Amino acid sequence: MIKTCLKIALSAAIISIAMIAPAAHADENLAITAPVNGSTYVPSISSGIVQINVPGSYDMVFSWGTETGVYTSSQTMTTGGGTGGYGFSLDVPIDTPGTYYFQAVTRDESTNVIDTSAEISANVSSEAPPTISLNFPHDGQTLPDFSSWIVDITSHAYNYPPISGQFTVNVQYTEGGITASDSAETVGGDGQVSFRKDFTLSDGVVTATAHLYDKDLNEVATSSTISFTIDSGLPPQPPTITCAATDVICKIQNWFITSMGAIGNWLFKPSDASLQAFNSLWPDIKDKVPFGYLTLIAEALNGISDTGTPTLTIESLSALSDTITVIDIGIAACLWLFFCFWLLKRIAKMEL
Amino acid sequence: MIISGILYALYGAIFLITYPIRALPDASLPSAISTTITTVNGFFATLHDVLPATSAALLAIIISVTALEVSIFLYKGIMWIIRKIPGIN
Repeated sequence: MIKTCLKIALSAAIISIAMIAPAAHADENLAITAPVNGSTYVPSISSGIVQINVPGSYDMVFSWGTETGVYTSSQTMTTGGGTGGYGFSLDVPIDTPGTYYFQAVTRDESTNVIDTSAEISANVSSEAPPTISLNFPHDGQTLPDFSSWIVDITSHAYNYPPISGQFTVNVQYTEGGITASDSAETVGGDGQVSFRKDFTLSDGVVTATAHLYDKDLNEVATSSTISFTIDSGLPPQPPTITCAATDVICKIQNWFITSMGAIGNWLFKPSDASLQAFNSLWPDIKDKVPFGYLTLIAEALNGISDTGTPTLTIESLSALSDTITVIDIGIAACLWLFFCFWLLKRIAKMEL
Repeated sequence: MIISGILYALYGAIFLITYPIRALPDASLPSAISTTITTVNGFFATLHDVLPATSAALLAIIISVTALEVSIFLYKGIMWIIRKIPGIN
């Protein structure tokens, strides 16, 4: 008798736990995976995906609205009984720009809510800015120092106001703690922009990021940061041609370019040692007679300044500061005027 | 290979031409020069205390005049050397 009572009590407890458990982990049983929380969609949201983690045949309601917790539109489907992602194709795409909040619920036949997903939000926009990426060099590349950047600009099909105007493309790069920047102006639209790299890179790892600014210098796009390695010992890279397996002419052309590149590099690229040798010439003679006198006089003249220790100590002239300031500026103006007259006369009578 | 060879030849020629200069002793200015510079700095510092704009103008004008005259002198010197090359008038 006691055993029977215990069995009944145990069974009741297990059934109670089984019924309560799904409600305690409602958000884990149901989740919205599309739209992605916090993302922006251009020009509309036309579908959604709800992940079901507990098998069962439900009526699933996918709801959305423009205010958190208030869902003014919905769409319903019946699940097949398995777990996984269930896709909604919205009958009317959400195409009015703004922020939308989404939630999904599963219901039984009596319309009792079984599980509720966490609320997510996504934005709808009618316009998309262009994107920018570094085409050359590319991420992870090892190459000798190069002369020009190549940047790809891609605009989207949806109107972005200044896409037809003038843009500024900028690449910021960092090497060994030194940051440099190169810029070029371009007219909007898709395509590649190639512009000169002004800073000479030494061997090491360089990180670079491309930026795109509109005509008012507002940043409209930023590329992902790439990292590449400069190795001055490498020969300049010939262009890479990808040939089809049966394209013999292309392969011959590729071989020719590669071979000629290697031969040209061996013949004409000066070695670092031959260039560095010149650096030692001037330091060896700059202190010798007669160049040394010029060097020393130049150093001495560079040492002249008005920030030394005064030879005379003058008592405070603050009471006369207004008058002295006028006199000071007047004398300075007269000196510059005399200098200009002297310069004109000197140039007019110059005999070279 | 070719360019490196040309650069090394050029380096060797310059090294040989400047060899006599390399053999000369280091130049040195009399110590009075540095004393003079210090004294001049003291005068300018005094002037700067009273008339800052005037002292700045005076310094800038002195530097400009010196730079111009040195440039003319160097130009004349270089042209004189060039004219000593046979065949160049």
